[in-house]
Amino acid sequence: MNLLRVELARFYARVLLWCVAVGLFVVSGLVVFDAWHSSRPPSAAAVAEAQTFYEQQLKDFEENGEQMVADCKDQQSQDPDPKADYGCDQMKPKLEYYLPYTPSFAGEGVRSLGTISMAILLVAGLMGTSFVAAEFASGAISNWLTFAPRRVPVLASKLGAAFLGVLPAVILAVGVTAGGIVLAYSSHGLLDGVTDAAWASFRDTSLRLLAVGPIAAVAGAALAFLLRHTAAVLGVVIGWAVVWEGLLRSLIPTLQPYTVVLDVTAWVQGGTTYSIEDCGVRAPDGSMTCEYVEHTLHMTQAGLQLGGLVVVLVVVALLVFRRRDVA
Amino acid sequence: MGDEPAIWTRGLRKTYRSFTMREVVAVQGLDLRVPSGGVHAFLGPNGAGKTTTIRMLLGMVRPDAGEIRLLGHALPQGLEPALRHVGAVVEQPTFYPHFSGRENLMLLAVAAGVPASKVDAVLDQVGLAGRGRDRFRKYSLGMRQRLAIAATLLRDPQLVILDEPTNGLDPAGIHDVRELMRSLADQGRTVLVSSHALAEVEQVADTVSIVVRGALVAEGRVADLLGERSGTTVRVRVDETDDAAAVLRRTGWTVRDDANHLVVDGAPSAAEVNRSLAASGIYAHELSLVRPDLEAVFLDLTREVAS
Repeated sequence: MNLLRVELARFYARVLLWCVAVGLFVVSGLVVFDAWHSSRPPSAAAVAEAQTFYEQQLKDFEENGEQMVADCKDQQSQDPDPKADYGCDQMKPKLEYYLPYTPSFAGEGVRSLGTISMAILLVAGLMGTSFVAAEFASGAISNWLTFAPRRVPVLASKLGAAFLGVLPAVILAVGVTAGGIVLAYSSHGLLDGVTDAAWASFRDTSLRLLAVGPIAAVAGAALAFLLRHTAAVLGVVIGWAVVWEGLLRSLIPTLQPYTVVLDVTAWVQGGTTYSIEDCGVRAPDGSMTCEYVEHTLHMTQAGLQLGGLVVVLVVVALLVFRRRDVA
Repeated sequence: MGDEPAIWTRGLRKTYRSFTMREVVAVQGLDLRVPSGGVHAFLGPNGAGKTTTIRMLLGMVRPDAGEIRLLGHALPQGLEPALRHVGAVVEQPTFYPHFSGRENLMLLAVAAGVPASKVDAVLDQVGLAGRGRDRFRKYSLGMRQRLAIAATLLRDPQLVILDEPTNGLDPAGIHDVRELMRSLADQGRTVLVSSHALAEVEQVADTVSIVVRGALVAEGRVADLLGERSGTTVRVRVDETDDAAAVLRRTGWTVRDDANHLVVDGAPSAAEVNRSLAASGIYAHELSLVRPDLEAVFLDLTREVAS
């Protein structure tokens, strides 16, 4: 516990970490602003413009609608897929088609909370990395090891400090973001009728977001134990992002559920979907057709994969740090 | 001095590999024996393996081969109990720049389970009591060295290891460190000091080990080491330098000019030099035995190994 106390004191003394935390709050503010801006009800001018456009379209439909529906049904009948539905019965204009879209709290409100997850991931990871790498870069770790020669407790205390150290910043950032989104939707009168299930989803998303920060900080700290320089860790992370999350994900779409970005999204949002192109002969005429098949990545699977990745990083960091020379 | 040496190594070896997989032998078969109590100088040219050896003693670097006993504990198994009684500064003192000197020591004290009162005591001991609350990043190099030495004293160590402790210190600071090392030794502690300031070390060290290219080339009491090589160099001033040089060379001694003097190597004594000159009708104005210092011994040994 003494080591952990010391490491936490060091963690909070790092100016860079405070700067990074402020950056996280700025991102929180931007998410809240975006939620407020996008949840604004349409202005009177926008409503009037939509009404005018709607009336024009309705007039046009009254004059030509019968023919338009007939043409639509004709095209539908020519489609090789017997189940094809061109929506010919819904061609009559409605006013809501032309009004600016107003997001719902249950949908966009909850989702916008999740948008801060990547910022938390990066900021907390950087905090953990910088905290440990700075000691290697400065050589302070040598001095420290003469006082605390047992390397496993040293590593554990530093990872523990990274885990606990980012918590206040992450709690504050998630709190500001969640509170801000609620206030934004409330100020526009969009919270009436929000179901208990929607509130529960919002709460659960917030709690899962809180877990992202400390885990990312531990992963960042473990990488720093392995690579010893913040720049090296950033290089590896960028390389991973480009090669695995970008190139390989595009070339081999079945890898999508094993990407960090999709796993974090699935974890925070309680599951997500991804599409894989599936080509095959389905049409009666024997021609090849392709379609995107939607798959679900469950929250539990995503959580286990992320947790497994962090455990592997920590174990490798432990094995390396125990044996490596410290100069 | 007790029987059990404070530091004992046998066949210690460490090889580093560069990125190109080229092997560099830093320490090769080092047998080191640092007796308990007193100041022991650990000398060697740059790259001789001194710092690597110290790092191996402190468990920071894993030896490829060899044995280490530190305060009676065999490493690496006994590293933790041994280091409870060791204070060490390795190369540049590194502390946390955003903390004051006192806060840095407080962190170490908390980790080591040392009472806070000890922090103020050691700051006072190294002359930093008045600057303890300044941030470390504002410290001069000399102040950093003092803080590092203060850190070594926190745990009341039996063994203090100082790697180049006078780097960056002004003459007064060097004198203070010398006094501190002496007082620590007088309290019964062992001080291992690695330094390039040979004149400083000579004034304070009781015993010495000299390493060159990772291996021990000499060890023993400083007085013995100097004594082994004393009486061989005589400095003489005469009017007839050319004639005198010729006379002395005829006896088989080595003679070289040094300003207005002749320096004679290989003569059994100053009296013999004087006798030879007088026998040729040359009388010396000045005749002195050049006492070899640690620097001369060090340079001789390192030259011998190099050749």
